[in-house]
Amino acid sequence: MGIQRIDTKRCNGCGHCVEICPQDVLRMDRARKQAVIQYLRDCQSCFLCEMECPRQAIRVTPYREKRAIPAW
Amino acid sequence: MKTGAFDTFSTDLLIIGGGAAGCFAALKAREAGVRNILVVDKGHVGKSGCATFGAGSFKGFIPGEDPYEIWFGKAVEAGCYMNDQDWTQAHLNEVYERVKELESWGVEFERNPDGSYRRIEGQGSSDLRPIKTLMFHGPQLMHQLRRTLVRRGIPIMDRVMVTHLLHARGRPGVISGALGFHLESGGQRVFLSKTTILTSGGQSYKSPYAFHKMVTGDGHIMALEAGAELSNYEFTLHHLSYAGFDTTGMNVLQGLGGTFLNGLGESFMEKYDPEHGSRANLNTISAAMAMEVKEGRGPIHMDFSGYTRDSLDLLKRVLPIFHRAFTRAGLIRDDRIAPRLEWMSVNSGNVGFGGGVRINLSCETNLEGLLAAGDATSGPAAGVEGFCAYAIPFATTSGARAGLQAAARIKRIKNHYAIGLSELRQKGMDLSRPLLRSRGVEPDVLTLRVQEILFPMGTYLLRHGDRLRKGTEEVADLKANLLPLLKAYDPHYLRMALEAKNMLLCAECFLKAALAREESRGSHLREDFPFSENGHWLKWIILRQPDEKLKLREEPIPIHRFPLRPSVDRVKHPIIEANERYH
Repeated sequence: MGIQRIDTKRCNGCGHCVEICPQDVLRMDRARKQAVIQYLRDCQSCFLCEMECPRQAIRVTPYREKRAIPAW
Repeated sequence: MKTGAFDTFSTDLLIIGGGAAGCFAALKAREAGVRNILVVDKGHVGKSGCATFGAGSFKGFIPGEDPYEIWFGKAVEAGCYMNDQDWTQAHLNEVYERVKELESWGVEFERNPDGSYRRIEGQGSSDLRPIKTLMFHGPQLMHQLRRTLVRRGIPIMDRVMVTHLLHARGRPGVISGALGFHLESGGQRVFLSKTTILTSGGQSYKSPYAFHKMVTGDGHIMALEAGAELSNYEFTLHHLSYAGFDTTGMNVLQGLGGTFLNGLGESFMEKYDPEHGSRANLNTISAAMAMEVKEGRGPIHMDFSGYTRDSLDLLKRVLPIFHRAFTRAGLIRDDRIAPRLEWMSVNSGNVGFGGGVRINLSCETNLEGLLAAGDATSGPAAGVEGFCAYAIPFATTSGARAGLQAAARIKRIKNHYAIGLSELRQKGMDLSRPLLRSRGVEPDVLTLRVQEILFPMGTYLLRHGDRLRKGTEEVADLKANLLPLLKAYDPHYLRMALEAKNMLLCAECFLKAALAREESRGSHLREDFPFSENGHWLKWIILRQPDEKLKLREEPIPIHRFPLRPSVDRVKHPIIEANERYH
């Protein structure tokens, strides 16, 4: 969960999502020249990458990877 | 100056953290004539920090439109007299100038068709004493601040995590630079500065249910380790969220008429806070929710049945992330939101208000050359939860003050103080250590252990000395046995390891301060000490760490010279009192 997918057909490798991710989740795949989800566990589902992607290539789900410890 | 293998950057003014406070500090320092400024952030300035996810509301006092006595009174009342009232006054006097500056830089606030501000009566507002909140369009605020920095030619260094402050050589009371590393290359960077402003936010403990997971007390711990004082660490933010996933926007959600229901379907907040009901402040609602759950009347829901199509339109503009998440989850559909959703309280550390670096009215710390602003500070204008003077609005006023104070200091100083090279080398080695271990534990292990201590309601919400003491013992055990084993595979994991370390050390500050304050006051609700003891406890608890051991001292608040003072010496915490009265 978190970032659900990066559409490789749409991603043009601009790297904007890699630059802006507050949790440093994404990296550029140098060979394919596209963004990849490198550290999914740290995604906070904040939707910034999805909202900022100029090619609408990213889809995020609000449900996160990590277990939340509830107050009660 | 030579620093060996380190990439070195020399600047007049180093700003650590590029949120609202850091941007304001940079812009005001530039206006005051500082040419050489560098803003460093572990994320991307404009897309990182709490202000990026600021939930659409901005409690900006407007002179001539808002009654000053009500705003000041509520700030001190909800601050539970822990405010530095000089700061509260300064904040209210200056915040409207900051609003106008934000607008001049392109930040949009909601307006009515006639051009006046559209304001909402959210958290902390009541019919008797209304507090009207300006509304901005979520991430647009920080986007515009970055653009303004770029337009003014202020250099930004993104994705560099600053981890240590550096002292002037032979002068432990003077800060003369900082050390950090790049998140992708891992290269260590040294910053030499005439003045440093810490604006790296508070500590969220990577709380679930809020987009603040990058806010990990980095500035608090680097300041503490360098000799600075922290204060107010026993007071915490009790964020409220949908139980399914991260939710920000409580102020607006409450202002649009969202109400809290217990498991019996009763609107219970009127019992605990008759004046504000479901528009009460966060720690009041959280404590009331916990009482309901404890008494067997959980779970808690938020009721949206009063929401209209216009409410959803507004949510889409001012809470675009909320709207997108709830739409993706199918909870907003056809311009309607699900009528009832399960809601939770969450320990979110000291985001927005609560503990941090102690500053004076000029944003100076006890270390020469180190200033602090915004959430990195102990929130002196707000005290416990003085909602009229906290979070982004305080980041703007304190950021501006810090920038101007730094400019005045820089004018006085001719040259940089040299840093101590042995200190630099030692800290460089400390920084690399998790990368050099061949075996160890992942940062997530420590993060989860800290959360397991801090997140149950018995620790942060309905506190008790026995549980706080047990928490301090568990933290001590983690410090001794797990912290030395932290391992990082690469620079990303190094960030996570250092964040986990900072979470652990901040947890120690919180638990020890909470244990020391033997009374109840606002978010600090002690079941074993249910009274607010105004006679004894109008004191700030100050934390310092000389010789690597945390030390606490109490400092009386100069309440005799402040405009507002409590009327009674001793009063039972209102939530405990209400629970006893009704049940």
